Amino acid sequence: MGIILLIIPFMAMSIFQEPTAKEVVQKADKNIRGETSQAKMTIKIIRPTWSREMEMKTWSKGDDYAMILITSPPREEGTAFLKRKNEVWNWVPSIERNIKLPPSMMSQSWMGTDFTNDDLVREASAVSDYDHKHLGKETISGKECYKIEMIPKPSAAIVWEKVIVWIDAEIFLQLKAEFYDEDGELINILNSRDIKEMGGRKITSKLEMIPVDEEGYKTVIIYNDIVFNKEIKDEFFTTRNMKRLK
Amino acid sequence: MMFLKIAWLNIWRNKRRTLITAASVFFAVLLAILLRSMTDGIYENMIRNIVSFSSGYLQIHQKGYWDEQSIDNTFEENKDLNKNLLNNPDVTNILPRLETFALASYADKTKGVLILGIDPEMEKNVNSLDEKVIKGRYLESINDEAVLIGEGLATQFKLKVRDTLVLLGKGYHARSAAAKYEVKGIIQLGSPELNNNIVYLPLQQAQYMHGAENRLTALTIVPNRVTQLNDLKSSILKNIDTSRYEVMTWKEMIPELNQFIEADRTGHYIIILILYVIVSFGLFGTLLMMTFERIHEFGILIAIGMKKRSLAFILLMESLMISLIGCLAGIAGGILVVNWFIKNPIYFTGELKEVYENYGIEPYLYFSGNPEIFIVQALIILILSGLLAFYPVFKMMTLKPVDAINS
Repeated sequence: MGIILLIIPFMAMSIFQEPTAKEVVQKADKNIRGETSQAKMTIKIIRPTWSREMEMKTWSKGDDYAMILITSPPREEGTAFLKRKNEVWNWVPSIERNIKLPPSMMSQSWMGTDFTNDDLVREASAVSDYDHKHLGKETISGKECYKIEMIPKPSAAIVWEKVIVWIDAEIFLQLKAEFYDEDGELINILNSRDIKEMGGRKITSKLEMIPVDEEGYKTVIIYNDIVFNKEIKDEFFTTRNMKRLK
Repeated sequence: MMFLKIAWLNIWRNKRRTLITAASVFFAVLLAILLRSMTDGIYENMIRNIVSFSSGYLQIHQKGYWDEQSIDNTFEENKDLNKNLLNNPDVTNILPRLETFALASYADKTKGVLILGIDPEMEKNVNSLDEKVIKGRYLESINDEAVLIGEGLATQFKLKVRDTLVLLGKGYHARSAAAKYEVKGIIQLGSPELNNNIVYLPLQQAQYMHGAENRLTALTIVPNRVTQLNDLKSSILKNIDTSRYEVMTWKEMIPELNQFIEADRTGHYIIILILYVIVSFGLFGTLLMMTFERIHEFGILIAIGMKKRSLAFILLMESLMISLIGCLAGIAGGILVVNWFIKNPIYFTGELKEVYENYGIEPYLYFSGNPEIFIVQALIILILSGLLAFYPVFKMMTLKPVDAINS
């Protein structure tokens, strides 16, 4: 009798217990990442007095390989970025040069957007490079979300002091993220909206990056098409292949 | 009136004394004028050398460009604006420019450079930029697909004429800006900062490379006279749309040069101040002599009924007349000497030449012909001698006729 009394609360705990913060992040990460992915997207740079739109194709495989090809406008057509392990290459057709981006350029703007080079070819993993902590639940655009604080591990090369993410408690998709610098100041807000079924999964098809201290600045990425887990050979991700991409 | 006549006759009663005093004023004025004309000439030369090849004396930008020097803050070439500016009688020319920073790369070397998109024809006519080409040839038109690079930059890259230089920067409205050009010529500019970093690109090529067709970062205004820039600035501001454009003088754009000149000028002020002190003592000496020589005469004049006040006034007039003669002669002499040096500037050789060239300045000692210098220096000396003339006046007023006659 005594044993049962002891076991029941234990069982109840394990059944109704919330997933740990790390598990939530892990689930959300898995939902948008596949073994491989191929996508077509539109990227919009919005500024107070002007805006600009680009089209691009992306390929990725695991954490190590990624390729981005700009397909429009004609001026930038053929420009490609390749991530291989911790190297980033940029092929610029108009000068027929392949440039290896130095680490110092990783925190600079990518193609004039509000994303950095690092954001595009992120080396850090949301799961293994951070410590996670629950901050309770909040509602974002009518959906109940876990609010989780992520603090980078000292060993990880991450510029942020902390990142706070809101992850949908039902379908485990990240809906919002806030990035804080080493002074604890909010720098960027990343909103993820328009949940759609694409490539056999539910994903947030529209990402909005908003730099907080720049009034009227915004970069929007819209996924037009995405395919998960279609095999791509490692040889695809080479500097030689960058020049031939279509 | 009678007093003036008496004073005039008095000063010519002893010609030698008058001429000596006038001569001391003459040399004082001449020295002050030459010193100022020389230092101002050096500054003007320095400004001309540095300013013409960088910002120019006066520039018009899109409002806000100077605070955020980005290609996004450019303005469209505008015929009405150009016409408006050229209508100003004090503007001789305008030069369109597109200025950006970019990475330049040759072989395995990469370096940050200043890209200056120019109209080669106009820069040739206004700044004689073509004369600075030391190897290769000058650019032909605004559409020439070639660049000129600074001699220092070419040395760092170990690059020769006809090699290909790759440029990579940020374009208009987040466009990419990447291009490669043949190096047509190597250009030697005085200023080491420019010489080591500059890439001249024909204007249309620069606009095309940055995706900024018809856009400019600046219109450089070539003024008639370089001394009245602030007046010119306000007259231009009256005629343009100030909500769209800003006008800046080189002093606002290259404050370090201005600060250097101001600091250096302070040093010269101290020297000129010492000059004034020496001149004052010389003048004072002659005036003192003049007064003591005539003290017997003054005593008698007062004894026979001349009013002290009238006599003092005559004395004051005498001193002022002598100073005026000296000053006018000084200005005339100054104009002659300065004009001669303006036409025949002193050419430095040897070490001094190298020092000048390292600073990016032509090794010439120019004199400034700014009329302000002549007037101001003559006035200062005139006022000084006027003040000093009060000593004989004071002596006169306290004169005891009996002592004076017996002296």
